[in-house]
Amino acid sequence: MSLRSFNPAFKQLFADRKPMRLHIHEMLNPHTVQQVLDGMRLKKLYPDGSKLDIIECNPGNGVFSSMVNYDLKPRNHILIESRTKLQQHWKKDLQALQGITGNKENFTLYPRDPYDWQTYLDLTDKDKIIQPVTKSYDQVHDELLLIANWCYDRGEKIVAQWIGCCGDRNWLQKYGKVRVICMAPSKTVSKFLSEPGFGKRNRTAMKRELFTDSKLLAIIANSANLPGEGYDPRVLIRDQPVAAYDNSIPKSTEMGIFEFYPSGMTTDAIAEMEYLLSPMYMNRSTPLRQILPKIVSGGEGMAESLPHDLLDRSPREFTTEDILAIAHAYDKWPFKPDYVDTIQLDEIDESQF
Amino acid sequence: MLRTSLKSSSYRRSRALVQRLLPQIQYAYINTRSESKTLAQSAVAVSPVSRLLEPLKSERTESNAKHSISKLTQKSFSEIEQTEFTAPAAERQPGYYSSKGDNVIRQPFAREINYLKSLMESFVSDQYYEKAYPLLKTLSGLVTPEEFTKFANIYLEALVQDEKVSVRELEQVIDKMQRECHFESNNRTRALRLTKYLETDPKFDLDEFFRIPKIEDIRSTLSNVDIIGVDNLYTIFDHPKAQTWIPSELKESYHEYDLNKNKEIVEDTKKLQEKDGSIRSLEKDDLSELEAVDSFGLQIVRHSLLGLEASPDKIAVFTSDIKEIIKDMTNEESKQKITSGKLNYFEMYQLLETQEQRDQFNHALANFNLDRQKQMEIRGVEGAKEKWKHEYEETKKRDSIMSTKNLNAQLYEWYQKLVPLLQKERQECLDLIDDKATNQKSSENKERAVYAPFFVKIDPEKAAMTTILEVMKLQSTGGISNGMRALTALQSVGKALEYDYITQKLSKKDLKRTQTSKHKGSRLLLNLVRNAAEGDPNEDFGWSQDISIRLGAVFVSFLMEVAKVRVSRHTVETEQSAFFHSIQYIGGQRIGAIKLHSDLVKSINRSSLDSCVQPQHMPMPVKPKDWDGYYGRGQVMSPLVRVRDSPETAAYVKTAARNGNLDQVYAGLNVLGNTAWTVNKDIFKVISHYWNTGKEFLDIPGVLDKPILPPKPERSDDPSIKYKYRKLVTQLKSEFSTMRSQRCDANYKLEIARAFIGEKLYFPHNLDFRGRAYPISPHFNHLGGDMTRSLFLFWDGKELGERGLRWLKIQLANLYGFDKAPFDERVKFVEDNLQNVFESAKNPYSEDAWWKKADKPWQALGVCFDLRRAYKLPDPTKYVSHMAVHQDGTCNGLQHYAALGGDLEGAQQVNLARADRPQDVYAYVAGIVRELLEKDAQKNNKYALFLKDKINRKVVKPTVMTNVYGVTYIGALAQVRKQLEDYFPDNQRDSLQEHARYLTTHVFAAIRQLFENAHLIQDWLGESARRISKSVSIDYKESDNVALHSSAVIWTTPLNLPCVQPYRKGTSESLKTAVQTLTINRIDGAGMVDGRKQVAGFPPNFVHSLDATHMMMTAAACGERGLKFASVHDSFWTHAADVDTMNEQIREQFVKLHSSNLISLLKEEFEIRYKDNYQLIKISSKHPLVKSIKELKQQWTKQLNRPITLGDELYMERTRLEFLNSDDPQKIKAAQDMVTTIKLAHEYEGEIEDVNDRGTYEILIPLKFPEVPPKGEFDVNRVKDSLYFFS
Repeated sequence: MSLRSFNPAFKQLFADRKPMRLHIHEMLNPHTVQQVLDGMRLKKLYPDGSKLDIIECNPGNGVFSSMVNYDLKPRNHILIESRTKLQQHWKKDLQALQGITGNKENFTLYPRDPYDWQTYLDLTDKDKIIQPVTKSYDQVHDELLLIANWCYDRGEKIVAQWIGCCGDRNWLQKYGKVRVICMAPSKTVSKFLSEPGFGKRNRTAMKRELFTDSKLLAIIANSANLPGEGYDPRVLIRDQPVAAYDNSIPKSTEMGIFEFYPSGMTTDAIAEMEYLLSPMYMNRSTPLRQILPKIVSGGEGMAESLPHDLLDRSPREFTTEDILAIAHAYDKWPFKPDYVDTIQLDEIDESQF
Repeated sequence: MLRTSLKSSSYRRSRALVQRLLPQIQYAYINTRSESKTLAQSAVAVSPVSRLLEPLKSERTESNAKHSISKLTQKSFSEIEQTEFTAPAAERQPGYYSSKGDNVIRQPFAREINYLKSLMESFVSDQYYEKAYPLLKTLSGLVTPEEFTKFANIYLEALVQDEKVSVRELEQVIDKMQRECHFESNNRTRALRLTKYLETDPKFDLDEFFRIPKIEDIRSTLSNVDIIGVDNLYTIFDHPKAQTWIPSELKESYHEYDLNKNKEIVEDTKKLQEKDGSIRSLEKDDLSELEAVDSFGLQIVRHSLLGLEASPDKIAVFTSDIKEIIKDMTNEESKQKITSGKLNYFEMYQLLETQEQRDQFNHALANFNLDRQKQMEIRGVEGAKEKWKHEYEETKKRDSIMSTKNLNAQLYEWYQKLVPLLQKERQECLDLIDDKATNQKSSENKERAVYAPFFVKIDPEKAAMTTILEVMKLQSTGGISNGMRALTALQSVGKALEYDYITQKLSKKDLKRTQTSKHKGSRLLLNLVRNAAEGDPNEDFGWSQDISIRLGAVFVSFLMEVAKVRVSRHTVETEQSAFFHSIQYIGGQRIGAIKLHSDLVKSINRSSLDSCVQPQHMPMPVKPKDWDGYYGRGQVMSPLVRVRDSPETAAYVKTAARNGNLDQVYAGLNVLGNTAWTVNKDIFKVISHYWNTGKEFLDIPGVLDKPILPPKPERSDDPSIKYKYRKLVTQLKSEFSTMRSQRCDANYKLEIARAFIGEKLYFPHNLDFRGRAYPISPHFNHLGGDMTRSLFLFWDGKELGERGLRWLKIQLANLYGFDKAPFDERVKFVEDNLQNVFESAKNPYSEDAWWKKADKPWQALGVCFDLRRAYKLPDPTKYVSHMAVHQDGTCNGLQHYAALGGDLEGAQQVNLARADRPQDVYAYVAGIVRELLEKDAQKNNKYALFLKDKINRKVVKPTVMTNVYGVTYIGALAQVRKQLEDYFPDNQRDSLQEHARYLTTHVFAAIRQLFENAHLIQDWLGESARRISKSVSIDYKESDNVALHSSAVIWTTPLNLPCVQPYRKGTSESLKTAVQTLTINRIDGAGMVDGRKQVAGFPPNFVHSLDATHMMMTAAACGERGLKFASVHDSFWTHAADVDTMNEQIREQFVKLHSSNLISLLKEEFEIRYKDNYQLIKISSKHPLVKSIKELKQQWTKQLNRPITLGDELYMERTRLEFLNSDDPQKIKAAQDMVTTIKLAHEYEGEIEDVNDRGTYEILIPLKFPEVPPKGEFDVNRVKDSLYFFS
């Protein structure tokens, strides 16, 4: 296979140093990356690089970064990297690149923590490194693209929060329907992309379905394994992801790449009962009828305004319509608690600090 | 260098020996595995080294038995009956904890045995002998014969007490037990039989009964006075041979009986029962009511006390006593006041004129209170019920519906619904036990069978109250808002039910045997029997944890089922569950929670919920019984050492108690427990006044309605804003609930205080595992904050005298914050302010009253009151003061360290030596730090330049203070950082961190410089703890239940109290209950020790054990001198008049404590205790020793055909030592020739360094302790002259 997207300028740079293996896994084999990029057909989605800003979180050793950059030729490619050693590498590489190509790739290293919300505010408002234009939610934002690698355990929580941001239309999603290309362990991706009824279907999967349009793009495994095990088969059939191998991915894990961006619905639809979702999905295989009394004082009373068949279903099986029906019943329920009583830090918040 | 001898011929010989031995090990090993046990055994029998094979053989056969036995606690009585559980004899043998040499027994199957025992006791006490027998039989399969005899005697005791059981039946049971359970009777069994014969057989021949046993056995039989009982003993006393039979402890009673036997019983109590209305019940209503009087909990407190005086005959006795006492009083006015009924007991007491009158009064009050205490224990919760009922009825009368608005009425409604449900369940349980249940085998009954034997013991009405109160008390605890952790709820309810059960059981216990209907004047014997009937204070009682949790779950689930609240919103009204079970994430863990309905929570907030005080949590109105064993007699269920989940600590202390080693500990504790207090009514009035304003005042939190929250963010606000909002709201909510619970807590304390106004109260104390003493009643005691402390007065007063007046003034100066000056200046400070003092006492409410500005205002006000009263007398030194004057150690931990290390300057700085002014160690350390910084500043160090002018005592204080408690660099860094925060704006956090890091290093260096030797000792303690917690016992086997590193750090205080660090890692286990399946972390004393905690904890724990020892020695010494004494760790209290005597003792005892080299003694103790332990260390793979050890192991591996384990290495060494210590010359010879890996290491003469690095090899070496660091020059005797040592 030809390495169509490989920037020759990087050949020397990669040869000069050994890739660093850190706790966020990544693809190090350009052939795998090429295979993945071929499947994504990004050029079709972002034909005009001169207007495109890419924000990339955790670029790591940069194999994927350099190749996606070469493919799309953006006017800005911001690399948000917080790992000190990698920051040093990038500084050196970008200096070298300046000598080779004059950095016509338009890379900018932003040595901050992609985990911190403030990073994005500073990037656009304080440091004004890019200043995205706000576009209508009618179509996908064609001038801003976000790429992120959250391939480690703690990453799951931030991906869940980013999905939440599609519903809130805040953070970078305030600029419009911004596509996020997200790499995460298959353990996470298979959960978040599961459909109603699938064993792993959880709260975030339900929110993902409510607030975003999403697609599984690729699954990358160590060659010792068979990729795709553990995914909802319906998703595999529907999305036809690229299956590729890269031995820089440890045998014990697997990487999934998926994209998402805001769909039509916002969190307003379920805002009132949002706080109930966490306890509800802790009992995700218990029928709603039995869960209701366990999640809120007198919750059993809500059953009156819910259809019987829904009461017999468990959160794992809920469709978006089901959740909206529950939200509706909750809205009508006279005994719903005061707003203040519903505010609490949940397990996803805990990840912030 | 490797010793040459290793390569010599003896080495070769020994290798040959090992090679000869190993095939046999392997042979036995393989054969036992393949179940050809007989073959293996015969091989063992013929081999001269059979002992070597035994352990390996038995390891393989026991695992199955162990597995099934471990499930025993999950079985019901009927399941146990149907299954056989027997542990192999070897497995029943007791094991040991951290050290074999200490001879502290670790009972195998302790949990299972405890469960079976509880179950059996439960059955026999209700005469279900047939149900109990199979349990007894199962027990016989788990314990040693001696242990079994104890359990069998419990069973037989029930038969003896049951009049329906004939003597023939008793003998039959004994026969049966001998046949089926290998029962070996003992002298207690004989006493049981004797009693039955005496009680049922009129023709019983004592002579014949005692014909065969030896005289010492007869005496030992008769020592069981609790079984035989008073009347039967009289029968025995009447026998002509009685004088030779009776044991020494009965001799005196025998003589007493002999003298009085012809007198008739006189009912002398009757004459005391004349009604006398001259003393009315106490009135406390003149005190302004606390605002939250309606809250529940309060009334229980009051009732528990006020309700106690209800018994009219006791009032009559007390009244008549008082009349008698005041008969000779000269002051008619006082006399009239006493009889007016308007005074409380303390006020009456204060009016008495002579010591004799006071003694008599104390005696009469003690008798009176004994009954009140008993009532309080038995009827602790009835008050709450009465109050609920009253409010319920009032609500009904008003025809209004029950709602959460009236919480008490609501609770009563639940109570009413719960009782019939529990009664029904109790009946079901009874039917099940009686085999009357319709479907005995249904799954419902199967579950019921597990708790039924215990459920039937519980009074449904009382249990309903207990359950409701406990669950309500726990709301918003355990990090769960508006709810509680399910495990905590089940445990608390279970414990409370157990407490009720035990109190009932004890109050009923065998009254027959402890009373007499025949004779009079046998006080001695009666006391003897009563004391014996209380049981062995070193024996465990009560239920196992599994039982109380399961039972708790049953009651909680019933409550959850019936408890409903009526809620209405707009026009809709409905009934909803008051509690619901849910799962919550806390710190990443899934926790089962029981949550309260939000309306219920709101109503609790409105009425400011106080918890129900269980009677054992209240101060005692009677003097606690003296400690004489592990369990306190006067304070049911309180162990001497409070420790959770550490059976090892308990076992060590029990062993020490059994061996009679704890007398000095008891002596100290008894002095603390015997100090009688009363509540300071004057202070209480002022506190109430400010409390009732509802505003925040000094340390009283104000009333809060609801938290004030910031406006809600918009949906599209940045996630960071939303997150900050949620965080802020959560924080505000939690602060709000903390404030609220602080007010609740203060309210609670004040309510208890109010109930005790005018009462005499005591605090029995027990210890933590380091020997520090704490009052057992947790809520209201003298350890609290300023407000709580100010509420205490000594019950007894003492005339001040010159010195006392001076000390009282010093106390005030200290409380005011003027405590750094010499005594004379402190006295002058108060004298200069006398007008302020008087004004404060006269008008405490004035806006800018002087007392309010004190460091500890409430206590200062207390002294103001006292001084004013004293100065009202013509001669203030004649004033009788009840105030406690405090003498506090200056940085007490460092004082002990300085004494241990003998650091000259350090000792001076913590006032161990005499000085004209009190020394300030913090200022001194600050000075050293400044000098260090100055030096660096001269070298242009930027940090030093910036910091050098900013160092004062405040900056270093937290670090110096916590240094003795082993503060880590990280901890100290945080402290220093906090002190420097003001100098750095928010955006210079990095710079702050750098400066803090620099300064922390220098503060550490300064402390080290001042207390150099003390630090070496701290290091020694840490290193020794590290070696112990990393050590391996010689008895370690891989197949055993005992973990590799199972030795905890244990030491004995100079008062002989064994201190066992309870830090171990437990195993989690699930327990199925009616509410949920719980995961419980079990710590069994044989698991892996938590090395990190063992090491970090030891230096501070050791020093705490020393300060505790010092306090206890001082307490005992003060007690001997007739002083009243109390302590809050390093603050010692006594009457103003006695401060000089106490001060002398504080110094004397400190010198006595530090006169021996405590660290050398500790080293010796460690060397004995851990002599059978080995250190597992890592040495460089290139070390010469590694080669020879590897070689030897390879040899063994070849022979065994498997890799050599640590267990094998230890086994070989164990065998070698065993042979070496035997009497058989052949074995000794063999052992001398034998080489083991450990021997190789032991005999190696070069350096062996423990390196924790790559490329290392693990070896075992005998455990050795580092040399004790040298002591400095400070002579501890100088403490005797120090003025400000404690001041």
